[in-house]
Amino acid sequence: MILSLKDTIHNGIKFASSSQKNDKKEPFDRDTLLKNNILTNFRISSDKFLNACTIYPAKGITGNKNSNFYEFLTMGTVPYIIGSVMLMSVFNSANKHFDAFSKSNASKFGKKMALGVLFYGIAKELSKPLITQPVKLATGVDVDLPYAKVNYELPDFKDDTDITSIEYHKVFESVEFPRWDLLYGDETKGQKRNYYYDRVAKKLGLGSNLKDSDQEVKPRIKEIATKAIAAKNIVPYLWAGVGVGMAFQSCWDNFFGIATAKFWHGRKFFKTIKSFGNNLVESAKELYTGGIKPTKGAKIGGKALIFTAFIATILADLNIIYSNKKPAVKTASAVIQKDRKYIIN
Amino acid sequence: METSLINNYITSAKSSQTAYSPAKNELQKTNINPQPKGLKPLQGQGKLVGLSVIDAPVLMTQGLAYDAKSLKNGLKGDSNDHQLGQINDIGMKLGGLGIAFYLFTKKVSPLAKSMEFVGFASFFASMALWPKIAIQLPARIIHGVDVQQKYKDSQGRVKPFFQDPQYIPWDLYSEKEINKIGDRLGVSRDIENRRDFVQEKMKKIAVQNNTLWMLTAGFATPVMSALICNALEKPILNLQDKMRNKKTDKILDNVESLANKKDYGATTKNLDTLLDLNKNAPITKKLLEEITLNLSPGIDPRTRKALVKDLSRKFIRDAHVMDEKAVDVTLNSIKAVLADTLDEKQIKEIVPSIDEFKTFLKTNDWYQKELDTRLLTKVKTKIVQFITRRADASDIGEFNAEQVNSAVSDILTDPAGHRVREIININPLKASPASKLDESIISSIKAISTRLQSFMKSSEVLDDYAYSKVAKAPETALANQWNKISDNLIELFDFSPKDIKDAKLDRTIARDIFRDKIENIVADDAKYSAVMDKLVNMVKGIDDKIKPESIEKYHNIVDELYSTLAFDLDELGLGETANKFDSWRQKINTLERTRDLINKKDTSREAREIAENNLKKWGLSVQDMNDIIWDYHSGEMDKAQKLNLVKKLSNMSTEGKGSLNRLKNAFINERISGVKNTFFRLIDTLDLYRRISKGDFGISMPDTMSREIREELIEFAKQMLITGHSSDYEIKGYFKRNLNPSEETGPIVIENGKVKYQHYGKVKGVDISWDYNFYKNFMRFVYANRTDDRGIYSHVMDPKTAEILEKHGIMDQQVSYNKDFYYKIGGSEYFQKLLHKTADGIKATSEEKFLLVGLAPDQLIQKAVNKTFNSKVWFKKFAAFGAALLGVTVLAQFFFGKIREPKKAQVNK
Repeated sequence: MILSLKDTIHNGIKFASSSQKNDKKEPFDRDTLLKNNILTNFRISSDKFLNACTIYPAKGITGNKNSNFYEFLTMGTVPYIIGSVMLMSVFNSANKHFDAFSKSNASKFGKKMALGVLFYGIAKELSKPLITQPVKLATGVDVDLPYAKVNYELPDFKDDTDITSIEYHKVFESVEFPRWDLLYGDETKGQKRNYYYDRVAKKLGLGSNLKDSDQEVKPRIKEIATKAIAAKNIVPYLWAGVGVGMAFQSCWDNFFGIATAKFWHGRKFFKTIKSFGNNLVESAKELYTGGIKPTKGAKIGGKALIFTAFIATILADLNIIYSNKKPAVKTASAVIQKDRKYIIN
Repeated sequence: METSLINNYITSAKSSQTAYSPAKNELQKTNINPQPKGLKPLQGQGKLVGLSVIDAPVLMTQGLAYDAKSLKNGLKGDSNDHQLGQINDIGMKLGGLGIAFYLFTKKVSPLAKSMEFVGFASFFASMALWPKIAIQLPARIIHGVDVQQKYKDSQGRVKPFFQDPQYIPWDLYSEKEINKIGDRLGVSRDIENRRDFVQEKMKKIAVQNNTLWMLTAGFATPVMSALICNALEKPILNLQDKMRNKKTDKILDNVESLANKKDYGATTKNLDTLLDLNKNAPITKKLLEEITLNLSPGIDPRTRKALVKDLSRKFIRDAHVMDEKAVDVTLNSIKAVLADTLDEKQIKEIVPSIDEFKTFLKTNDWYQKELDTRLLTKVKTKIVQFITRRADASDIGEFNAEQVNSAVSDILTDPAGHRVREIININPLKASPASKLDESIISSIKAISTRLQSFMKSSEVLDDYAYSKVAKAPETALANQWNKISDNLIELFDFSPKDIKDAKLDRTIARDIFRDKIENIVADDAKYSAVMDKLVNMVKGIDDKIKPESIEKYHNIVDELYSTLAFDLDELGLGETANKFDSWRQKINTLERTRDLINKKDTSREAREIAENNLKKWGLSVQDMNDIIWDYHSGEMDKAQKLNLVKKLSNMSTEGKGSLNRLKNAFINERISGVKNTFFRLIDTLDLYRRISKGDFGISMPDTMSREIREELIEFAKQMLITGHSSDYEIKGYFKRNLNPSEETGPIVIENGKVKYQHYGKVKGVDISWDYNFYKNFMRFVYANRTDDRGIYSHVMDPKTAEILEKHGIMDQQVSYNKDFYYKIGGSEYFQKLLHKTADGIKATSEEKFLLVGLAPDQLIQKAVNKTFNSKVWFKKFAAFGAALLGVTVLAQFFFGKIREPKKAQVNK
């Protein structure tokens, strides 16, 4: 049975028969804008990761009719994580069978490879704010603003009452259909309807107290979001390259010589952390200079890797913040030309 | 039956439509689905995208164009969602390329460099291929459904058809296509809403497969990528080896043109700047050292030192000038040394002013004049007298006047030990050398630089050749050939996986397994022929890659290059430097020694043989030798004739001990020998085991000899050949023998290639250091058959081995190796076993001996075993994992798409 969503949400009509109790309590009863902070992001990531490893594959592999594109995309984390572990394994797990000399050489490379995989992911994630934060500061547009979407599913069986699921999306996830509606204030709660758009308009220098600030800034926000997402889809990969480059420096050989993951060995573990920090700085230096006995190429290669990522980040930020397009502010006279004939169907 | 959602919706929409209800006549006009004018949707332009191979290039080009457009729009802020998704792919590939590029720059060897890009490409290829091979293809075969079907939407965007299970554009599939898939899925033809059911089933299969893809891709992509790289490594290496070798072979034909391409512009510029800055400056040793640093980079420090000496001799005259500077330094030095005993006033009184001193010098006609050492001594004496006179005339007292005399005399002789050293550390009178860096010297230096640079350019080209062919680096022609042979040894000697596993543990185990295999092979004629043939063919492969005639050509070019440079430097008055490059004068001496060796009656047979061989090697006849010596001593040759003589002697470079010429030639020779000798030794080992298996013990073991000693000899030879290091040969072997061997002379018992020892091993034994005959017999048994009355070397070899070596054309090389081994290793002295020698008076360097012994066969095989084991264990692990993953992925799909069929449609009878 399909019921109108309007009825289910606003009139409180439930799919469940009144005798049955719905045990599952979803944290949201409607699409809700969330704050973009560490805590929320951690909660969202954990929820998505947990679902990607449990519920979504279970639904997908049984061909559940409610499986959707969101779940498919969220499951993309699974090959990412497994792939990283596998990549480390490919270069390390067989080494123990080798003779001592080969083992030592293979392990040296294998450990760097594993570190490279780790640094790839870390550098990629850590570099994203290099795009989003300057944009947020300069324009007031937070392209990573999350919201919880309440998703209504088809019942899996006749008396299935658990027909909602929560999906975590971003307001500007789709630049074609951003969730503008979530950015309006709730006037019934005393909020200003255009509070968000007013703030952005002010930041963008379009002025304060605009009549229809939402209409004025939406095209600019869309442009900013599009450029920012495009940049976010390229620049972090360049920083990931820098991460891998750092992982492949010879200074890490010293680190692997003393490193221990046994945190209960207090001093040794502390030494490991200290050495990691020192070698992290050293690896950045080696990447820049080419390290000990560098090849001609490595002298240039490291610098090229760093500067490409750095310059790309700066250019991307500038490109996002500054617009070539003229502001959307137009006077009525500019829109309606008195000497022209208009036909309205 | 599943609820048909669309039908439900249509039904409910029809019944509850309140927002818009067109008039009846309107409905009649439009007949179905009445809609107001102007709201009619556009006709859909979407279509399914086929998988035709022919379309692939077009689709790929379109894809690239779309990517470029996406990026452009993204930067302008005009992208749509689909384009932004594409940009992510571009970013991922750009990042990957960046990593590959950086790691490429870090690697040195060509294969490692290439593999960075192969790794990058294989990773992305695996990402794309896994879903095709493990998901799409099996699903198509099992269910007849293309779960990775793509479609082009009305805006021309290519998207996966089943991407969003909640939005599948089913209208792109025709009724006929759906029915066909339904038939393939085994859906009954007569069920209600067959199309809906088939679609539901297809959707379910697609959702399940997409999930399976997500779950398996993480495991599959890295493994598949690694396996692809593993499979491609060898073909890429072979291809690169061929290309590189071809390129290198051309170097020797184009040394001149390639040398002209070498850029020494920066060096010339530096030298010019240095000479300009010091124009007309006094030439000091320090200045000459600076000049030589900029004359030509790449000259070793010893040669540079000789060059400084030569230049000093050439440009610095032993004369100095008493000019302004010398006057200043001299007076200041005298003042400084007198400050120890006199006060300022007294010093002022005694030491003349600059003008007074100049007048004094002018009076003697010394001012601004060039003064040689003899004259300078006179000047010193006069100055001391001049100062002393002034001291006497002053009121400092007689005793102090004497002190002044002594101090001034000292300081003008040598300032060492005086505080004056702070002012000058040489004789103050020599403060201004007479030799100045004038135009003519500058042009001389530039001429030397031009000559040296032209040499260095050619030398660099030759280095490129030598590096690519034989350098101790990965992937040179020699290294590749070494790897090729050692990799094949495992297969050649038929090592089973168990043998490999055992042999990798320990050298002794490897030795025993290898020895056992050799003994089995040599006992079987057919096997022996096959193994030896393959081995010799592989060794011959080294010559195919590094042709002896090319090496000969290389030596000739090197010899001529160094000889002519040495001659030219000699002509330029830089004799000591010339000697460092190539001593052609020394060659004449060597020729004279050779002539003496050949002509003198008391020369030993071996020495004469060597001298004659050397002459042959240098391409000279006895007459040539005599002519050259005569011409040289006649002293009537002009420059051209001398140069001609030098060229004639150029092949003799190996005799110019310590010269750079010799070093250059020795490097390439030693590298090749180092590799070849290891395999020649392996051939010798097989041959020896073969002869033993055939009971062919040669003249060194007559039947009259004690059987126990013969058994000891056999075992010693077997052990030395298979395991002996150069140190073992250096100490003439260490082998425990019976001090009181049995005198029994029965025959040696041989079974299946192995000797059944009747005596050997029954007593503990000791190494008998005084039995030199035992050592000599061992060397003869393995390497030489000295039956020739004239004492000329003749080799000893199994007929089959000889036949195969002849067939592949490397018999001469093998014999030459055996001969060198016999004389140079056998002829070396060991202080504890002085008489353990095969010949007297044979000299060989430690390096030569080390290279002759090469790598012991058991070590060679153990290295090969380890390498094979490593790659096999890795491959086995991940290939098995990959295969299992593929199996599970495919198998799982047999359980997909299970939906109970709805009731059959009722047919009215």
